Amino acid sequence: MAVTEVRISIHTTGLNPKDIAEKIKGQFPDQVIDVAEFRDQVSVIIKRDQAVAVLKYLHDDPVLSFDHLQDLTAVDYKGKKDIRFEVVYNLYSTRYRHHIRIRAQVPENDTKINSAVPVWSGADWHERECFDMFGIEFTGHPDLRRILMPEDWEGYPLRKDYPLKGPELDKDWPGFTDVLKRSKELREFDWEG
Amino acid sequence: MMAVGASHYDFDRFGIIFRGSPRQADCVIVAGTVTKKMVPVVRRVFDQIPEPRYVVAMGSCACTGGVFRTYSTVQGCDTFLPVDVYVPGCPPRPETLLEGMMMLQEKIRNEQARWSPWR
Repeated sequence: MAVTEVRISIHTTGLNPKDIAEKIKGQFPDQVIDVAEFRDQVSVIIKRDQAVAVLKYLHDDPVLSFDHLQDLTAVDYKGKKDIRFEVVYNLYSTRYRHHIRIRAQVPENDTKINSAVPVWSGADWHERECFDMFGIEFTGHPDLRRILMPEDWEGYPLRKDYPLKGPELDKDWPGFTDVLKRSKELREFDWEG
Repeated sequence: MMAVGASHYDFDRFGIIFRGSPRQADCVIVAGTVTKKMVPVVRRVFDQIPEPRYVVAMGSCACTGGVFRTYSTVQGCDTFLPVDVYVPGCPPRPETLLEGMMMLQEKIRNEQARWSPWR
């Protein structure tokens, strides 16, 4: 009787985040700018030009296998850093259960970065939100529209130079000011008792 | 609002019945933050209510915008709706909303010649 041996290997122990950072550094020595660490969370700061190549490598490499894009967002470092924006990718591997954070630097005068949708299709709405709030253009994105704000909204609300209380009433979103104007006109028909 | 509608507080015993459409309603309760993007929609819902109609602003956010003095929030739904009763609280207690609705009923009771020529 033939015995078929079935081996199921479950890898629960992932790589140390510092080792992952070293691996990225080894693979893309000219792309990695810095490796930052905060409370055992390791961030790899990279250049934006080859960002998608780095992410694709992280996704496809069998030892790393980052199949889950936990979050994609941006940070505005206006007045704090020379390069104003950083697009942040929080990655997780469901197979090895390890994390890494990738930060790609995007300068203010040319807020463009390649889209990560070909790597993780879940990046779609994250990038739309990022575009909506920070005005970062993701080139190659299939449908880059605003996702939260109205489509004809002006400005990018989460930028540090955006007024906290929003635009002045005369420069506010026309969809809102039109209703205010119309309701003021209709007020004469209100019941006064 | 869910608690007031349910049996413990019970809107129904005061003759307040939830309707599925603004066209069948006498009153709208604005229950929560109104964002600028939502304003045209809220106004359209209000415009669909047949006269006589009333507005209750429920909660701090609907009354004044609450803590959200931001780019996207409307600072009180009275900027674009004729509000009759303001129900404060964050969130309001069920009793508070009930009190607000009873105040509205009182207001309606004291009105002359609005619902019909003889009342």
